[in-house]
Amino acid sequence: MQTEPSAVECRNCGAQMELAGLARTSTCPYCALPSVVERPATRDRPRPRFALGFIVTRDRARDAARQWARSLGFFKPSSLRHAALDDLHGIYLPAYLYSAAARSRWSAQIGEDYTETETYTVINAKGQRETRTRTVVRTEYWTLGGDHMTFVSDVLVTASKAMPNDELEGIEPFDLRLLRRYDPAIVSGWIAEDPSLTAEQCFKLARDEAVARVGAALTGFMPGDRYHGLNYTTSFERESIDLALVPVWVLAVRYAPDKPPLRVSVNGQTGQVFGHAPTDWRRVAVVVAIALLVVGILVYVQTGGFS
Amino acid sequence: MIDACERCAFALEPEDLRCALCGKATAVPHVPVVTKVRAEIMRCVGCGAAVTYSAEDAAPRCAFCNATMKLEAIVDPVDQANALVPFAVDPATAQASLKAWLGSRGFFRPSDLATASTVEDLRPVWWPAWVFDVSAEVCWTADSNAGARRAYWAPHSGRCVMDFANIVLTASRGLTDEECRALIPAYDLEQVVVVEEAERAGPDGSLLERFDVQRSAARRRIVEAIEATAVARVRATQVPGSSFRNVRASVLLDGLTTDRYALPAYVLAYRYGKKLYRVVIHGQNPARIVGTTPLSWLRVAGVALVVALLIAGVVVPLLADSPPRPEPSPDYNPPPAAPAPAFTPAQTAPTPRTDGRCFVIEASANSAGTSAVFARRHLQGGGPTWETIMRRVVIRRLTVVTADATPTADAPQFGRHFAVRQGRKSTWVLLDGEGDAATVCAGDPVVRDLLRAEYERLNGSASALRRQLGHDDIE
Repeated sequence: MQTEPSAVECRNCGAQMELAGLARTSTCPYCALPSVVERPATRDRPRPRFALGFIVTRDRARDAARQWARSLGFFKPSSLRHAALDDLHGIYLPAYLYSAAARSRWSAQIGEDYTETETYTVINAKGQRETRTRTVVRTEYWTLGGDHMTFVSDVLVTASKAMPNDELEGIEPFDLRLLRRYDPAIVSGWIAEDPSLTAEQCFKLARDEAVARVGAALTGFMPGDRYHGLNYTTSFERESIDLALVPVWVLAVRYAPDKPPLRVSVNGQTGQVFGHAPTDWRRVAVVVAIALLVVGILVYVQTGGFS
Repeated sequence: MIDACERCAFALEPEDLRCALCGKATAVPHVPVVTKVRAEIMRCVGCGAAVTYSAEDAAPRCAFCNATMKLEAIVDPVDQANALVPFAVDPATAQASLKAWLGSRGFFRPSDLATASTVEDLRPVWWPAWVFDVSAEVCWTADSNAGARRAYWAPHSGRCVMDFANIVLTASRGLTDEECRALIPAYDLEQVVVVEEAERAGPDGSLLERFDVQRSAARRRIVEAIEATAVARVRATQVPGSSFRNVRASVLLDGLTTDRYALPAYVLAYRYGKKLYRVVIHGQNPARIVGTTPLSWLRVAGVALVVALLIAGVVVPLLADSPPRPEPSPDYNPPPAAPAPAFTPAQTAPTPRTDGRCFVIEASANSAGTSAVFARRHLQGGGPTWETIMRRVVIRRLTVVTADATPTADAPQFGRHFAVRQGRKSTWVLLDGEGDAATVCAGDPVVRDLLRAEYERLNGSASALRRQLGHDDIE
């Protein structure tokens, strides 16, 4: 789904503003006033229903990102630790909030422990065979099946191609108690986007996450002392999915001239930071080489050198 | 007008954006229909300048006049009772049923309990509770002994529909959970009136205890209570067999409605001897009483003595080798049956085992101020005694080297010993409490006089005693 750039008139000075494909906000190049854009709602781009306002300020977001960069491990590029973190953008990311009633059928092997006394023979100190007894714990397995029903709510998935779902998960959770009805004033002056993923793609992401949640609930639902082979199928009923705008600070960190910049995200509500920091393979190679050298020297010393 | 959630029929409040139970968005009041792409500028109501959202204020702010624009408020109020169950028992009836109850408390209570007790305080209160109705599909798993093979347990699972009607969940801080559990089954919730009727629905001076839980927390507690109730019911009615473990339930709720009720009760304090005891009487059914009563230690000791003699007379001769069992000493204190350790009555005659190094604090020497402070504290469920007070004095005023020290050879061999330092000298202090009375001894006359002076100061001034007790509980 690609939307061609469109132009819209500034309500203040009448100038034409070019709109990037999915932008929900714009600033007039002539009078510098911020506008919020409204488009006719479509299935893939509905009007946002909810919004979470920014709470983390630009300075706090930068501090959080710096803290994160400094605490990266040894195997991450050192240039990352000292990179300039100035190019910070506050973005209202489109995300879908999903909830449903989940009905699952499950089956598993449920293990119940019992103890048993068994006899065994050993050769004792005098070289004779001797019969002894010991108690051992054994498990008998039952095949058990059943149902599980629950509401799954607060599943949040990305609706933007620019921010993969695992990056959003990296800065979750958001405090959804502070959710507000979408109001253009919340996004005024900030960057806000409409969804770039289709509703169908987002639905699938949300259902996958809901299935994983049910699976986590089922692991705590199993009786017995142990279990294995848990299988379940879940069907969702009475699903609902609503578009929300969530606050994210995004930085593009340039840490090497020949590498693409690394994107770091900061939760605009909690300050939680996430970024896929690359591994510095040269550092890994150096450490491995040193380790091999040390092992080599030790072996050399142990074997008494090349005599 | 309160709507119900379209998915789970949970009763929603008008401010809810989403269902608190299942997360479904509530109906939108109106969605602006947009037919063509347009740009809008948010304007300040005051000066007309453009408004941008400010993270610092967590609200839209005018860049020109700095006024912040109010967004729709996020509400999480503390909801108060919306229904009230009137008193059906007047104070006189409550007092009469207390007397009857005290007279029927069994053999181990003092025989003059009903006649010698006086009611000191009687307060009609409405205590807050949530009452909920819900129907739920319950899936459960459990281990039970039914169908077991080699292991003791066999796993089971099942599914059923349960209706929970008029389940009462306490929100009271004034009454204990135990007291509420005893009262709840006897309420007739049909008799409900609106809260505005409170004037006419109870005796003069009735107190309406307020809810102090926010709506979001209240909903969480209700859902937890439903899940706990479901597990209890599954255990009682669904799982086969006679012994269970790992009883678990997943619950899909349908049509949860909750009401906030104020339920009537009398909170009484009665005095027997020098002690105050707390009792709660149901506001609709005076026979339903929950509270504490004193034990007759004489009778308990008597029975213990008889049992000991029987053992000595019957068992000991049978076991000719074993040495005769000692009779219980006069200090013998059987553990109290009622959970009221603070109310141990004073012993009749302390054994003469003290000398000039000791002084004895008698309950009868308590000043009026001290008695008042003690009575109030006892009512609150704490229980200050002179021993605990003097322990605190010792810890505060002396340098304690070891609390719970082993007694030195020259010290009387009873009570709780402290190794203390007085100036440069090491010496000891011991404290021994017997109900309200306490014995204080010190190896050094200076320390003894210091402690005695401190006791006299505290006994002489109720405000000093209150300060000494502080607000924290004394063990």
